Amino acid sequence: MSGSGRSSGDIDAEVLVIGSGAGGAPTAALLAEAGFDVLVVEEGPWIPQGALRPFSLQQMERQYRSGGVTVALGRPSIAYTEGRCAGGGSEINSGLYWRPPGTLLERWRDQYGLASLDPDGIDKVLDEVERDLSVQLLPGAASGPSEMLRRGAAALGWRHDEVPRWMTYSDQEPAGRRQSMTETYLPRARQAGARIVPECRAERIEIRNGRARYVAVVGADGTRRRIGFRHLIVCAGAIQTPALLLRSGLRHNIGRTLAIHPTVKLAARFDSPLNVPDDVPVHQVKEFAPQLSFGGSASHPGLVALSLADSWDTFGDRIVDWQRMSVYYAAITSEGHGRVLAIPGFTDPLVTYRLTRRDEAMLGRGLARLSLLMLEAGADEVYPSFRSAPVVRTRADVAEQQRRFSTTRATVMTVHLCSTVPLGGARDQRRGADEWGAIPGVSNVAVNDASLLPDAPGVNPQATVMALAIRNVRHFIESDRFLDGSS
Amino acid sequence: MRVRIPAGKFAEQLLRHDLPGLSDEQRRQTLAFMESRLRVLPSPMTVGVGAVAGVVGALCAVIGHRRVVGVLARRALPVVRDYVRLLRSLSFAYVWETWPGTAPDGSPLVCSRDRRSLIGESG
Repeated sequence: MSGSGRSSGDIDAEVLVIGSGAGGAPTAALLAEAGFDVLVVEEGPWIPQGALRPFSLQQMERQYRSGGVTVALGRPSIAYTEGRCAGGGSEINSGLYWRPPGTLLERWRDQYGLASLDPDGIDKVLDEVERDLSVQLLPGAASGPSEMLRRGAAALGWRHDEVPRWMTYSDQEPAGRRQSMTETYLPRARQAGARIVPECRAERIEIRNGRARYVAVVGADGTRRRIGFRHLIVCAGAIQTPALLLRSGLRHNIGRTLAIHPTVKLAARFDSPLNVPDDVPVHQVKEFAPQLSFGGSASHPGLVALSLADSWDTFGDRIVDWQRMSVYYAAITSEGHGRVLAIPGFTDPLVTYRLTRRDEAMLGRGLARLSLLMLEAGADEVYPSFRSAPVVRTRADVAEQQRRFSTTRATVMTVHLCSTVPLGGARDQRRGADEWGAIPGVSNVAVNDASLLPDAPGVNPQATVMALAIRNVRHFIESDRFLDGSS
Repeated sequence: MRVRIPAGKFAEQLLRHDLPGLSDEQRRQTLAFMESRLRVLPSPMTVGVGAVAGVVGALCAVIGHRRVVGVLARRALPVVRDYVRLLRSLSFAYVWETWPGTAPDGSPLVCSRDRRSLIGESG
């Protein structure tokens, strides 16, 4: 085990970790610190935190998969985003931190037969994550768009919170420095001896006699090679992890249970400038959580224009007021599900998602309540993002908005994707991985990222992903050879 | 599998329809941005979008770009609407991020306001 190093000339690393996001980075750090010889391959480039303007098109080009243009097909199709860079989604998301509720962990334990899932143990891991990422509230006042969420919720008597973030604040960086994976766990992994290779895409796992032997990779310059290992931990995210397993012939319950938090949006205009192009509001409204939540989105002028685009004939002339506008979302916990499919001959997976009728109704109700929230916050006009939407100025307009809404007319999006290789106990018919993330049927492969969440958590999943990843990797370290099938 | 989807004449006509006030140089830059994003679409999406683009291109060849754009920009026909929405989303995001002082018709904001006031005065 730890410190045993390479066991033969074929082995390039004792543990190969594919992906360096919220799952892969702590996995690599903890393994390297325990003495394992760790190699991390990451498909995207290493871009230091702060090198690119947050939420800009340039950032989307450099750090998002396919420049941010990725879609789950369905009626409606749902736009989603994936990080494709060292640090993964942690580099590009809002940095907002939500502990998974204890009731959620208890439900997962009971519903999916996860006897080893100990909510108190996860709580202790979360304490540690919060220290490592400097999770904290804003040292000063919240931004104007955030204050509007707070004000609207307070007027309606709805529960709302300032959400802490993984940020540090200093005189040099008063707006904060995001404590993403390239600032925290990846440097720790490197410090402990892990090798991190960016711009190296894993194409296929070569499996023989129930054991993974090599991973075929391709570099940015097109050079192909094979990497050998004793243990393989796949942390490429909820879309790319199942895609890689499927391409490699591992199909049992893989990619069949994609879960997301679908969102619909609107832009709200206020009487004075409040737009903050490079940041998102820290307040969220949780009165109807976990089924329905409200928050704020990035709102630089290009994104304001996008939010008006579905009804440009009606709303387009308001773009001149973008400085008085901000974009907000209503997110639901969906009962629908999607799939990730690997199609022979294609580099990328096909992703589908189907909303249920209940989801569609919930999105319509959610968007209507969000309009009401904005009116109560003082918006003079609200522009819901769907075709044929009315300009909302009064409560009567909110009713008209809800009457006209349909998901096929709306821009539906998500940034939270999970559950494509779900954890499950031995009797769980839908499990893609065992209680610790190991893939049944192959002795030395585990998954350790958002794919493992049994279903959508109803809150920003990054903290949950990190906590489960740390729990799993500690089990790996403590039980030594569990990936070889001896535990 | 990698297929190249040219944004092409249809995208240009759609841009002229949506944002007639863009200068030639702005339009060129915007189209170049759209092409760059279409080049990196996930491969299954490339095939789907390419197929729709092919059908739209064939329609344009038969009945003319301007008429096809005129119909598709106003009417949300199944499947094709997603293609139009994709092109429109790319162009709007690029135009307002690159030139935030742009009027709804794509012209520079100050000029547009001047022009509106002139129209108001003359009308």
